[in-house]
Amino acid sequence: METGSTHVRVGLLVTGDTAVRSAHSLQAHPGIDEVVVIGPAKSKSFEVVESAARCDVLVGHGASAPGLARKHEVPLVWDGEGPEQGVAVWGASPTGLAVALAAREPDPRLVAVAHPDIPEKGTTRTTRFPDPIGRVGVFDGTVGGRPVALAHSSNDFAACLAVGAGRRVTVVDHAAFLSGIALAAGVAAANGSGRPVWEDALPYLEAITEMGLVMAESE
Amino acid sequence: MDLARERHTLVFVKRLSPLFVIMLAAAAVVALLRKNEEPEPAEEWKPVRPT
Repeated sequence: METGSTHVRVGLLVTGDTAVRSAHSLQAHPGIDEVVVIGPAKSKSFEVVESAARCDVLVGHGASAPGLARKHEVPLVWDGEGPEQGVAVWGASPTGLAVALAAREPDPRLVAVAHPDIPEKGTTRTTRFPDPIGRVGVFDGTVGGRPVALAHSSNDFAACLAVGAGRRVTVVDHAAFLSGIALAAGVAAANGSGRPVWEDALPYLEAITEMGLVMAESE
Repeated sequence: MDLARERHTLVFVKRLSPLFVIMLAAAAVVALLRKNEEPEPAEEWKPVRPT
């Protein structure tokens, strides 16, 4: 993150469980000096402040986050699926993480995500994710105009998968934990201009591993 | 073979034939289901750092 300051302060917009989880991941990250909650709110873990003025960046989840960030006039790291005014980094989600995995492969052939929050839909083909998800039906989706195979995970786990010419790369973990880190790590891709996490995939992937997710490959 | 016996055989074959086709189709479906139940070979995943 290029903030121009030595002290990195991140503000959390209280926008749901994913955002709160991301705040805990950010608090434990050595590159972040301070995490505060933008009030009105109550928090046992974080200082609650009324103004985001001293924050370098805000983190928020869901449709309400960009509007809140614009109100505070601080750039937002967001798990939404497209650019919006006031958003510095978007696609900081499991789907964006899968695209970021593929962005580092020389010849990506498949990008896929399985997550319990993805609704069950009619599927025409299957994709094999690592255990404990296994082979499940997928349907076609997009994120930022990029094709992504989406699958409903029937347990509490989520998986991001990128299949390249020479290997398969994955990140698998408890779905809520994975979503929180996928959002938090977006801070590593913030450089002032609105862009998706996969445009700066390496620092983003490094951040997700530093925050506790494990990348694995299979040949 | 007299005519009555020949007719009897023909009727028997006519009745048997659809039954045979149904049994053959059922056997194929069972075989397909069994094939799908076979576990895929385990994948070996190893941790990597982002590069």
